[in-house]
Amino acid sequence: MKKYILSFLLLICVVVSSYAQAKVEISPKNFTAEDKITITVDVTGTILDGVKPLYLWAWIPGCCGADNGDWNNSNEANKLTEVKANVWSISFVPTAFYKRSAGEINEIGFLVKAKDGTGDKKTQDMGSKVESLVFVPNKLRVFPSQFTQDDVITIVYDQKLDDNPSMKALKEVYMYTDINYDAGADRGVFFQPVSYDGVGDSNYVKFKSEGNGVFTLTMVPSSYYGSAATPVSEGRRPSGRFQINSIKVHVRSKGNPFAGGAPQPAASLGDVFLTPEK
Amino acid sequence: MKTLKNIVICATLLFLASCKGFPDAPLNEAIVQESVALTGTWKLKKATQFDPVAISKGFPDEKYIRYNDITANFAGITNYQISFQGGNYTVTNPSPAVLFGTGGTWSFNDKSPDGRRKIVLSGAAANGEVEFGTSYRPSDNQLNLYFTRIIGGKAIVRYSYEFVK
Repeated sequence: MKKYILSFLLLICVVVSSYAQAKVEISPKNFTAEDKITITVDVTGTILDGVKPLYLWAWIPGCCGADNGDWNNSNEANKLTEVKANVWSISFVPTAFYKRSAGEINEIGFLVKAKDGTGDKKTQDMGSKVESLVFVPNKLRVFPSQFTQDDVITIVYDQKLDDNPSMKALKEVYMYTDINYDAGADRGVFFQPVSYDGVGDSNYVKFKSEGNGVFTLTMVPSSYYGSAATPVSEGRRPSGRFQINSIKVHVRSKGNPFAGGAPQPAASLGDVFLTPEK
Repeated sequence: MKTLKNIVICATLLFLASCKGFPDAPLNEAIVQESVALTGTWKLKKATQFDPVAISKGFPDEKYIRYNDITANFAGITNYQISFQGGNYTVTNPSPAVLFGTGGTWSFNDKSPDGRRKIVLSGAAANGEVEFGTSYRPSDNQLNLYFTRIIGGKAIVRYSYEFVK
């Protein structure tokens, strides 16, 4: 009896191992959830050898599935394209395909199957790690990354990330700024609250030191540039209904870096332009 | 054995017969509760800003990357008061950092595509949605309101305003 059982188990092993595993290739090999990827699967020698068409059945491990449809009736949107006999591919951007944010997709899982997967007409489970989107710190950035002119924004200057030794040495940081705006029929109107020479004497354009080499200036642009308290140096201060097209931010020292005899250190980052959403 | 079986069946039937369903909540209960939650005069305690774009990308949970407490950045912001009475609201000591305007009318919108109840403030900044941040309990004496800036169908900035009575 024992002999028969062993023979039976051996037979099962032979049958199971008679199907090869599908070969998968993901291009590019390293990708984030916002990159377009192409999954190519070779089903030669598998239970799907010669089966047409084939479909992707996908999930995020530990989370959830994609819009796969039913196991016996795959979603047509997940149909793979036949590249050549037994080789199939599909391209997608993971955030769009899985309908999840990049922060939720650290890994993807999938298999390939017949439209009706009944009878185990599928490949083995496959998958790949997904690289995190990397926050790249910049010496000058704005928080939040997108904003309108009526939102609170914070301009952040991180001295530690600056290669310029004069900028690194600054104890106080100021902003030279102007805006370009539309108001009614007037387009591209220029307004500058504080002159370049006056910047070092104006607390209105002075950054706040947060310590550790970080300086910030927080404002609501429409109010900062268009309220009764806004100083006027050149151009027309906006009033009533207006739309800011761009904000020039020029981070610099208290002393004019372009004037002879300015107290040292004196330096600037040059002009950077912020564009509010409309 | 048969007697025992009959006893069990009878006991089960008696138990089921004694069950009464919970009474249905009045259809307008939630509305009344949230209306009550809003009613009164609220003083701003804290304002925090979030970057939904950075959060969705899984960027580090750090100040100036995902969030920023803006309370200290605007002088007098903690004197800001909003008062909800009936269908109207008024603002005292307005601040440019609180995007509810200077007053107007308010109502609930239950037809939002995301299914969440929104508070429509007629004076609030355009391209935005106001909603309850957390459930309101009178004992907490705290009202949390979110304002989310929506541009092109996408949330780009989110504010959390914490009020106390």
